[in-house]
Order: sequence, then C-alpha cells, then structure tokens
Amino acid sequence: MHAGTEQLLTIRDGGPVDAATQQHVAGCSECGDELIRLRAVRESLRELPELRVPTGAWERLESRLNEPAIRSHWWPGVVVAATVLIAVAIWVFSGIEQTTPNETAPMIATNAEPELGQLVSQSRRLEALLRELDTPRVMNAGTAGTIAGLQDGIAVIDYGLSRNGELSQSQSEQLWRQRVGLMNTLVQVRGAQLQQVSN
Amino acid sequence: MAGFRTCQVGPEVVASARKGERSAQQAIYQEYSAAVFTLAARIVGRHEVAEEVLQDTFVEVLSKLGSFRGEAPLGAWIRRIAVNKSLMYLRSGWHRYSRPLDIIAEPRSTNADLVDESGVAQMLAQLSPTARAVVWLHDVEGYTHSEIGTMMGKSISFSKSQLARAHSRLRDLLLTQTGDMPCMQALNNF
Repeated sequence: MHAGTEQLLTIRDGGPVDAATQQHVAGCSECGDELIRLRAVRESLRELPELRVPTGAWERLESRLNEPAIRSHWWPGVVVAATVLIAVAIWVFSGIEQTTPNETAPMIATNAEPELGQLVSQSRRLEALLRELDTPRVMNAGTAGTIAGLQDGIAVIDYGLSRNGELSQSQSEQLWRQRVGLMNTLVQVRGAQLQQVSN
Repeated sequence: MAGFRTCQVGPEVVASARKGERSAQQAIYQEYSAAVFTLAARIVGRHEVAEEVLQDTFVEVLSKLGSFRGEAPLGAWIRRIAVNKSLMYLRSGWHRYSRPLDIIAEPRSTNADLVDESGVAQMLAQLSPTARAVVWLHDVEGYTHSEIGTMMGKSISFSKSQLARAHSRLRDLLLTQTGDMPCMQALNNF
C-alpha cells in the first residue's frame, strides 16, 4: 500500500515515520516521484518573488501614525462588534433551545410591525444595496472590527433561521427583524465608511 | 524570495525609532515592508487586505518597539506580528463575505524549463484560506506544526492534516493545469 501524503510530507520534512513506510517509499517509484513533487512544490513556493508594496503605503501609514490616539479608534469598534455578537448569539440560542414550536411564544409582533414576508424582502433589498457598495482599499481597523462583528451577528441569525422547522412564526419574525436591524446598521456603517474615504 | 531573514536594521536605527524618530521608523518600514506585505498577501489572498495587514502590523511594531528587548531578531518579531494580524483577519467573519480571491499577479517565468512560478502562486491562491495559511507558514516561513497549531488555536494534527490536504489539492490543480499531459511527464516538468 502506498504512503499517504501526510506520511510523505513527514519524510520530506525529516520527521519520523515507521520503518515499514520508509522501506516502502525507498523501493516504490510512485511514492518516490510523489516525494520529489512535494519537494519541488516547496522549492517553487520558496522561490516566489517578493511582492511590490502598493504605492503610497508609507504615506497612508504615516497619516495613521499621526492620528492622536490610535487605541481610541480600535476599542469602540471592537466593543460594539463584541456586544452585537454576544447579544445576538444569546438571543438566538436561548430563544431556540428553550421553546418548542408548539409553545405559544409571546406575541411580540403587532399589527403595526411588518410581517414575515415584508421583513424577508426588506432583508433582500438591504443585501442588494450592500453588494453595490464598494469595499475601500484600506479601512480603519476599528471599522473592520465593527463590520466583522455585525457580519458574525448576521451569520448567527442565519444559523438560527436555517433551523426553520424548529421555529414558531413569531420566533421566525423576531429573527428576521433582528436580521433587518443588523443589515441596516451594516449599511449605515459601510455608507459612513465610504463617505470618510471620499472626503 | 528575500524574506525576513535577509533584512537587516542596525541597533542605532532601532534605538532612534524607539524615541519616535520618523526617519528611523521609515527605515525599518522600508526594510521589512515588502516581506510583511508578501507574507500577508500570500495568507489572506487579497492585495487590499494585505495592505491593511501591512499597516496594522507597522502600527503595532512602531508603537510597541519600546517593549522589543532584542532577545530574538527584529525580523522574527515583526514576522510574528504580521502572521498574527493575517490570521486575525482569517478568523474574523469579514473574509467569508468578501469577494472571491484576487489571483495575485506574478511576473511570468521566462525560462520554460523552470517551474512556472506564477502557476504555483495561482494554485496557492485557489486553496482555502486556512490551507493556504498553513502551506505558507510551514513550507515557506518554516514554522513547525506545533507553532502553527498554537497560532491558529488548533492542534498539531490539525496543521498536519491541513498541509496534507492542501498538497493533495495542489497536485490535482497541477494535473488540471497540465490537461491531458501524462501524469509522470507533468511531474517531471514541475
């Protein structure tokens, strides 16, 4: 039986393999060829040329270094992102685990609130809007953290929505409402970010 | 590739940079920026994100230079920060929602008998972000599976299996690229 890729990589890197495998590889042309190929791939990766740093990167870094307090830009974004993510995760998981579909969920939705279909189409419109917004070449780390937190929050909700069979109508509506809320915030953050870049 | 090992900055430059001298800071940046940018671009797969990692790395390097004791080479310290920043990006949800990978443009090899370097770069860019990071960190930067496992918050066997899967995928991509060429001939050409 031929050696697996993991065993051949261990041999390539000078690590220990059992005697039977070592003996097989030494006498097998197929395994020998594969070992040569693995060495060649490593060599060609190492020989790849260094990439050129984009023009103006130092100037952009210098302007960041000149900002009065970089840390103060970082933390609010990270805190907002973490808060959003934790709140959404607690809400989604506690809501799904603690109630069964047959239980009568508290009627949060009122006539004034949009119904499920409207929430879904609102969510789709916001998705389409987000797709049209350009991603700036460089973004502030705090903003990136906020965006990542919002996206993770949406991912958690999507996970909840994927368990559709376990949700009551009102739970689905609550999740979609949360999703529309987060998407709205995300659109606003991305919009503000683009405005900042254009100024 | 020159990489971090060939970069050199004198202790007097580091001392001046610690005091906040902008020209000394720029000298450190000039020496290491290409290595940091290359590492980031190979791991994250997108030029604009690689520049973001480059900037975040140097903001941290220059602001924490005072805590650098010089026990390890400056390049190793900068590289570790760059790796952490790149992996932080992969851990965030951001990359899951971003556009497909940019294929990083490489100059084509002029010698047809040599390994087609641009082809290798393109195949690397087609791996999953985690597999790409493991391949680069292990095969190029020389980190051990234990170090990669720690940096990624995973086990040694996770790193080993990711590397093996990545190389199997690279072999499949190579065979696809060479089309109908017999398997052994493709390997020999490689």
